Amino acid sequence: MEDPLLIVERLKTHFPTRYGTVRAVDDVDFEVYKGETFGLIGESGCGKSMTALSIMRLIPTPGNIVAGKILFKGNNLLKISEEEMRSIRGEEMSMIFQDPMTSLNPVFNIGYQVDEPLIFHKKMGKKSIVERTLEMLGKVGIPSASSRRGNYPHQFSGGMRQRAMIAMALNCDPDLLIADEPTTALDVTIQAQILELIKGLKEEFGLSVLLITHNMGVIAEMCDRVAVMYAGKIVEVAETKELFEKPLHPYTRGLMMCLPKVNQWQDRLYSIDGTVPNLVDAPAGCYFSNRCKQANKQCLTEKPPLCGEENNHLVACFEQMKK
Amino acid sequence: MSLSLSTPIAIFKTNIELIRFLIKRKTSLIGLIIISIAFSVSITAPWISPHDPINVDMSHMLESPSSSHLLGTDVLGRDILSRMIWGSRISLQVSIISVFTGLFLGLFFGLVSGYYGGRIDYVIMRVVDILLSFPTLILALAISAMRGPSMGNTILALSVAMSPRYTRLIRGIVLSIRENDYIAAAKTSGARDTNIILRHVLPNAAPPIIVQATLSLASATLAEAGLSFLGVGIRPPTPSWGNMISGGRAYLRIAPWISIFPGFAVMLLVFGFNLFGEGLRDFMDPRMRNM
Repeated sequence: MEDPLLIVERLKTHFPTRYGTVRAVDDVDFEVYKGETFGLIGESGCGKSMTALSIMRLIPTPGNIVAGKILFKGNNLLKISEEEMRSIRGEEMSMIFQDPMTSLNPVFNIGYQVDEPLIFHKKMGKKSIVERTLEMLGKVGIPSASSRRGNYPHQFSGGMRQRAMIAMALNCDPDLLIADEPTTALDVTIQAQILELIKGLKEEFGLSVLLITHNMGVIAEMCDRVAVMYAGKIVEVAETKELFEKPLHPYTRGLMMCLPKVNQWQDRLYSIDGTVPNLVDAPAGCYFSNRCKQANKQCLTEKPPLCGEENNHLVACFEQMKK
Repeated sequence: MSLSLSTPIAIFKTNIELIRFLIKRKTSLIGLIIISIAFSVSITAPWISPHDPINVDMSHMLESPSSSHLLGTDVLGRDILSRMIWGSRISLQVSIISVFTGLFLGLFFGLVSGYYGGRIDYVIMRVVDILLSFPTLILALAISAMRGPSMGNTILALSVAMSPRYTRLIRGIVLSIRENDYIAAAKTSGARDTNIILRHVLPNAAPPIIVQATLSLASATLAEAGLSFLGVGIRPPTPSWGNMISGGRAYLRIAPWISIFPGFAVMLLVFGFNLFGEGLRDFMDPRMRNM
């Protein structure tokens, strides 16, 4: 494979609170290759979004990145100045959000908001900016773009707003698109359309996509490779097909079992017993040990490293290391 | 960046559109008419006032409204109508300038405090707390008394006294706007802080600020009257609606017109400002515009 576009190395993002430090992102490693869709899956609060915001260097206060490296095109994003970072945001990497109802500013018309990244980054005349925006709006599937340009967000449906967000994110032709649960707030038919759209644009623009979701179906549909996150840590990384066929980490297996199955009758859906440990005074061992049926003594005292050889399938579990 | 590139914010849209909108709504139209009358009266004061507003004429003291003195005369025989016409200049100037200056101070500190948070926010808000612990009028009185009575000092005192309220209001609004995804979206597309504050936060904060400002025009008018009454505001013989009201206080039983007419003028102007502000608010909210 080519060189990775984005390498996240031992990233730690912590939030000091009055009860102690919350390790929202705890030693996270992964890389996103050029032209790849990399999925990050995990339940609410496991640190997916914070990982994304760390890459953007837009951690909300009081959080901060305490350790690690984020190499984007070989540059460590944690070392460069705010000014340089700003020139990367929107121009080389951009982001779309979960709720298109709130991610567009209600007082500006759609056209202006899609123009904005170009105004910030490109020295282009008004005419060519408007042309470019109309072209983008057409590409994301907004019909009669020239008249819709002047519409305000409240005149757009949820799906249309998400399309406009995508147009805005891709207007400067970035290399990396971070999609933070882009379809969670949309209904199912629109979800499929938006996913198809992202897929198509990815090919067209040669994008890499970091797709954050808690939906296994979205992962299966979209991603080349997947990382499973649990309590701020990545517990398993594999190619999508491999992960679905041969999930190794007990948490991943649990997630798979939670999915309803089409071909067999189930009275109750499976659920993983127990809850996520409190990240303020996190357990010494594996964070999943309190919910894991296979947990042994080692699991309770040591943290399993993320390792594995076969098919680039990495897993953080002592049980699997033995095999 | 070029600011001229598409002008999407309603505030900066053509004034023609705004005026058309305000005329379409009856309440706004009334407000607009009242304010326009007040403005034209104050501008044309030298030509339309029937008598000299300062000239003392003891032979006509405390006369009730008649054909020669339409709204009567005060204790020094000065024509109430003429004094009101000239007084409108003072009242409009003091209230509008002090509200705008106060608003400007409040905007600056409120935006900075709300957007950046942290230590700056803490310092600004504690200063605001201290200033707010005095009633507005007392604070204005203290500033005015320190600097002596004049129109400039009255404006200064009122704007400084009103600014903490704006600061707190604006900070609160900014805090809620700051959390919106579109602010994050603007950041992820590489916007600068100043750009986010001025282009994304401010327009969204505008409606409540404008409502507050129009309401303050009323209280500024009243505060000016209060300061004038206490002798630290506009000094007689220069007429202001405020000092006319307080000047007639002693003769309320025998010559109520001295106080009633300027009082009515204050009320009408405040009413006009409120109706106008409401229309402005609805215009600025794109969702309300087509209603």
